[in-house]
Amino acid sequence: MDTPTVLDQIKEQMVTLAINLFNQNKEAAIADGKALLIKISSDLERWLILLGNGDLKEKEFTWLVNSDKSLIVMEALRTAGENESDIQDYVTQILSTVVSVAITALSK
Amino acid sequence: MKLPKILLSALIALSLISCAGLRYNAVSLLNATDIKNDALSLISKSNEQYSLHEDEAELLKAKVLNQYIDETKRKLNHATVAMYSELMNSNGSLYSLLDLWKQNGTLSASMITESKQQIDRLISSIIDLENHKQK
Repeated sequence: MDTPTVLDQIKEQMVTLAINLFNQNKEAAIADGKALLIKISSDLERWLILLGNGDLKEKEFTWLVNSDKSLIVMEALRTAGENESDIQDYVTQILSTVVSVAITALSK
Repeated sequence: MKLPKILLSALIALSLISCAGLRYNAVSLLNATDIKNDALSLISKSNEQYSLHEDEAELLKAKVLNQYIDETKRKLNHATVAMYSELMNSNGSLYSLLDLWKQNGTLSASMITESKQQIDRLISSIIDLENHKQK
């Protein structure tokens, strides 16, 4: 298997997919797709070689590609969760300040 | 003047309670770490027939499901809940890997190496998030 050719074919098909699915925002969709491919390309290259050598079965290869998608989802969730946690800390601190200022003001 | 003071304090206290949901939980962290260790140890054995390890696989699935249920009981814990859901429902995650092992009987040596790395990264995301929560 010629791995660079396969990767080029994936890129070409990704562009076609973006044009078909996101006619109005196709440029953004193509950019997102390319960013995704760059992110997973080192895994993908290694897995394509293993698949080509017969060291991975087709279903195993499919699972691995899907696992990269899962990793991207997990990373997004982790970032969202961390942001939510930071916002909660911030709100809690603001409300603590409100409590102390209000009680101090009321006690005067 | 006494009544408004009590009311204001009560309102603020209630607001604070409503925001105190997203906190670090040592048990959640320990359970996620256990699940990761169990999963990696089990995948290492997937060069052997699934039927030999079916009980361990079912136990691991039950652990993940129980942890998912526990996480749903924590307030403002949407991200962690969604991460456990991803482990159970995605085509490229833990449950589907166990299903693939079951279908194929065994996994190839390369698949064991590669999938262990992926599962490690997936569950480590849950652990990293828990560690980030307010202690």
